[in-house]
Amino acid sequence: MPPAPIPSSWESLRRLRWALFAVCTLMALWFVLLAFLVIATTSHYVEILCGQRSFSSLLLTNSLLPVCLGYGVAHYLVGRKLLALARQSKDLAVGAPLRPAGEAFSSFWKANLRAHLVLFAFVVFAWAMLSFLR
Amino acid sequence: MTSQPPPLDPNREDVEAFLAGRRSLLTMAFLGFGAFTFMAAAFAIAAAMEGYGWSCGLPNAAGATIEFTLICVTSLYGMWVFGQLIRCGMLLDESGRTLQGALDRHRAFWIHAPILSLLCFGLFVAWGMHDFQSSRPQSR
Repeated sequence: MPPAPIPSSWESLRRLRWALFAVCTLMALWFVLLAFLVIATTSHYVEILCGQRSFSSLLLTNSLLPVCLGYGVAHYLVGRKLLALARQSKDLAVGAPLRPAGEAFSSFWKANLRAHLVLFAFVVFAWAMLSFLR
Repeated sequence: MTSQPPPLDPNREDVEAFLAGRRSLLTMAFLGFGAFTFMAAAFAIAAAMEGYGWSCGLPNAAGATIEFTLICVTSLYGMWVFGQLIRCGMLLDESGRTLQGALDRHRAFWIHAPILSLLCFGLFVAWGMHDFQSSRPQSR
């Protein structure tokens, strides 16, 4: 009896899982790296040479703090959707229904688009404020 | 000679679950493709107008060459990566026959997206260093 052929759609999704887990890790690394770079490269010079408070302490009292926190929260929410898609791809058995993976796929792309549209809207708004309303 | 059984096709419900995210996926794909196309075009025009990357001064030559190479590679690579996502969205249809091709493009996108992300980060750092270097007060 010949072996059953592997359905390519299932196999394609199953092979996706490592790339998605890698992207989730990379997103977390981006956060850590950027935070480290910004704090490590600014706090020393700002506090000692200029006699002012460091970036981190300035940020805590800055009006842009909610925006920075929102940026972090958006990454967390979108990253959670991506992780859900990676888990659905990982747990997928050959011949099993593709619907949960499809729902995770759609859910991720909708959340991703929403997050980017909010980000672009904020950037355009900030640019307009800085350019025309100074 | 034994005939091979036909490959399993995803059913209609499976395909509909994927199709629900098609519009969002295509919007994101076109936005990304447009951004990297704009980046490539803007840099090509700047390079043509200023001879940037070839005729810069000796002290800046190494940094500018790195930056030039990074921008060229990143913009073209970004167009290719988001092109894969566009093709993924285009291949998603109601028949479900091209779902495998669409998921292959989706996988290609996610394999190359981390590399693109690292390139963008490198470009960001290079741009920041160049900006910092050019804005330093001169000693004489």
